[in-house]
Amino acid sequence: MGQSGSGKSTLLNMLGLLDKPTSGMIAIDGIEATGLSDSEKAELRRYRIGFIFQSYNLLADLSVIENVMLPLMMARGTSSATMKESAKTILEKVGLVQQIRKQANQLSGGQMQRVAVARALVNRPALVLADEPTGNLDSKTSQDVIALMKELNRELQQTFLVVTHARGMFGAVDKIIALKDGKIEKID
Amino acid sequence: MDFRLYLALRFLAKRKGNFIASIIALVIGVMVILFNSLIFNGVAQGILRDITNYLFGDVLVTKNDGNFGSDGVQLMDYVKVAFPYVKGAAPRLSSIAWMNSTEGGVINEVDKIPVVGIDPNRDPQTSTLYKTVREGSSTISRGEIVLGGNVASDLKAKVGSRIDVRMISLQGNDVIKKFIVVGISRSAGIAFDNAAIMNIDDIRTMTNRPKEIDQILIKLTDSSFQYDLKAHLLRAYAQQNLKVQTIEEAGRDILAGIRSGIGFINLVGDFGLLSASFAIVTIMMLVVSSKTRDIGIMKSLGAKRKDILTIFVLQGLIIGCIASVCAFSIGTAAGLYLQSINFSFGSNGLALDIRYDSVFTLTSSLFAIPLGTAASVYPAFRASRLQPIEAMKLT
Repeated sequence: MGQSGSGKSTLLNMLGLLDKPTSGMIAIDGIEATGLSDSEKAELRRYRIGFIFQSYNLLADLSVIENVMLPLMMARGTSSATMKESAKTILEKVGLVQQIRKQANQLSGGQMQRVAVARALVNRPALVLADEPTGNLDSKTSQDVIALMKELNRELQQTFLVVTHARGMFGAVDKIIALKDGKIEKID
Repeated sequence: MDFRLYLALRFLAKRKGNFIASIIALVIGVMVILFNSLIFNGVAQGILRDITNYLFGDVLVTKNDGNFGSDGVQLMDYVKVAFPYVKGAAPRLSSIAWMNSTEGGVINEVDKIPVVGIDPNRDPQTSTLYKTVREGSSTISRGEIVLGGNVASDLKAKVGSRIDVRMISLQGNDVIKKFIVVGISRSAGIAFDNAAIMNIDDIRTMTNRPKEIDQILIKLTDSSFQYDLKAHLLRAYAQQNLKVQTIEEAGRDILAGIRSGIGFINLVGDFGLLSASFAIVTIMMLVVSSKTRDIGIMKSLGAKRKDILTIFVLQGLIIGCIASVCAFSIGTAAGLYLQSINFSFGSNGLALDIRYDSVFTLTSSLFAIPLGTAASVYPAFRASRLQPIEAMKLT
């Protein structure tokens, strides 16, 4: 957590290898990631990191199930039937199994964020990075998404690193890191 | 299915406007080349056919040092008997004439009109000149004349008109004779639209050149024997200083002009294809621009540069393949149709000899595939270089 401009999103983007640090290094699972090629970084993102964005970032041309299947398709080596089954299973967990044929842009904000959560988790990455996941949602929907992430964290044993302003999130997390002016101010 | 192909297909399906516009641009580019080839090769073949039929035959025999006399008749009879593939041989004799007609009390004159004399018995076996006679009769007895359409127009002469024809004899004397117009010849400019046709004996009499022949036209049942006949004649008449020309040689000047024109027009067609490829590059750039955010998202999910490159190049390949099939289908249908209708520009225009060429149609159509693919490479390359966070921020 931290005020606007404190560097939360920048930190998250760098941890997710979406952005390059101007100095210093990033290690993921003991791998020094800053020196990796674009292709190697893509491999790390593909298999080890899941993203949830404030603006959902679903592919509007794809259906709900296609969006969720996309990380599995990129990972390859899985049959179409297995991919569909895995996507349905995770969509069932986020309560959207009835919407799988809908286009992503036909859903409400809360539903789109649930799809984004499902997409981030479908290939079981070790780390899920969430940037303001409730930033565009009303309070009721925000509570639902936070509860969902907490439940999946417990059930699937995946680490969530969440950037947020939402007070409701604070009670749901194990550790809070406060940032100020690009530096860690406090860890609770 | 590979996710890159899957996404390429989904993106195309969801952007039907761009998809269809790209295909249309490519098809138009290929069709410009195909139609250029069909029409202008049709023109060239039509002219070749007409100059063969009207002017030179399949083989044209002249003498390097003057005209034939009675030896011309012997040569014609010889080739008819000796070579089973010779369909006919006919003499021609040319001159220049001055003509005038009096219509409604007004004298109309034309000067220095080329006149060709034909043998009305032999010529129809060798030439289809008679088919150019659109009004009146093509049978020309002595004292009768067929005027080219333009000459008839200048003289204001009609079938049945009487005209005075003046020629200069071999001795330099003016010889004037009255002729009756029995026909008007129109051939889209290939034959004698600016000339006149008369009985060969009239020219011989008026110019005092009895039995003279300046050209012998030989028509074959199969034109591929023209080189064989030429070789035989040059051997058999080695002492007579013959000039034996195939149609390609006799019509060299005419054909060279036409072919250089066709080459130029085909170049214009190639520019059409180049314009089409620019249109596709532009459309693909628009497609990529509209997909910037999606590219960022895909990269954040683990797509590599080559994956992004592949997705957009595949789109170009798919567009190229579909355009290729469309161009081949349209090109085949149009080619076969134009071939079947004896297409010509206007009722008196040159009848094009359009020949549908399936191999040329196929190769031209297949050209859409590398073109569509190549046109997508640059936009795809630009797309693949986008950093994920930049791509997502750009929207």
